[in-house]
Amino acid sequence: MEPLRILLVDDHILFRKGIASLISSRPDMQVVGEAGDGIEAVTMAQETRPDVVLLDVNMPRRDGLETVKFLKQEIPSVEIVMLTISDDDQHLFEAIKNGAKGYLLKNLEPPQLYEMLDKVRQGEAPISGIMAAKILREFGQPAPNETKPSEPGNELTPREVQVLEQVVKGASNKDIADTLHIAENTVKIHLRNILEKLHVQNRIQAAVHAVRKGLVEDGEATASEE
Amino acid sequence: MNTIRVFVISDNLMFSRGLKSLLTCQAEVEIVGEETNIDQAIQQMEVLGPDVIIISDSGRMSDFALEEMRLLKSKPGIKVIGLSLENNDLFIYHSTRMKVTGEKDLFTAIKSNHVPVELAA
Repeated sequence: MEPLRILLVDDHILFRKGIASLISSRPDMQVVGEAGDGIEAVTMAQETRPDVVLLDVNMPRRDGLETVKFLKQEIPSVEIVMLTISDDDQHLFEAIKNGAKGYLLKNLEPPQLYEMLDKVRQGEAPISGIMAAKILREFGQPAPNETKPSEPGNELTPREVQVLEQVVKGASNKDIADTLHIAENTVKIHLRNILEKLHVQNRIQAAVHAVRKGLVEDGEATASEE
Repeated sequence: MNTIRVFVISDNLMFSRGLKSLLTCQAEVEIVGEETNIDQAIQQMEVLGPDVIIISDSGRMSDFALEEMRLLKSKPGIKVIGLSLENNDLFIYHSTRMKVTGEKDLFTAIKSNHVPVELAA
């Protein structure tokens, strides 16, 4: 197995040197470069072409969150894992939004770090437990503006709302056509537009979305599978 | 040549293990102990009798200063080196405050009998 090529980016010299020293004892990993800030990190990444960048958040000149964007732009294939003392939600979400694969807190022990780096090799996302909980919590609750109608142009027409209400009740395309006195083909066209506007894949997702967001009167959300 | 016996106190295990790994390459330096808790560290130091204590705390610097005072009081004459986890500050109590520019600065701080002029902030 080829050693995992790692670039260490941290402005704290002794922390960085310490990790480099620890990793140097591992046959399956190799530190190919070190950088003390985000600007140096991009130059070093171009020179050394690492598999993984272990990246601190708080750094002079260019912080880690900005650096993620630059690194992904320069080397799209590089995997970036934040390694920081910051357990700030905003740092976590911004890092991931910008393209970081993982988010680790510096209080983990060396064996845990090795395990997390192994995960990267296997295509998994290494995230410290407490930070993973924050992500789940964030996705578990609707964003504050999610109950508002979607952006202009994506709002459903009155007819589409009628169709969606029928979908929520579990009506088939034929049922909907009969109820609304329109052709079954027209129902299909309405449905296609609804899926597109709501950014969902199928009628069940559309029904769930409709009920959750209050787009229709709450029926018995039992969309049929057809 | 006598070895310098070093004791490491840090609540960040990644950092203290990294320091240990760095220092093991230094022939004259021997790590005699490691603790995350200062009270236990003081107890252990009684037995182990280190020459140098490295203390690093991810907490507030005011606590940090209090802790080094306790260390000095419990073991007069011992060299206490404080390392900040927030930045590259290195303190040798009570004489020096400097920025670490490389691992060699830590080695020098451990080995020097007195604070070298070029290290002074």
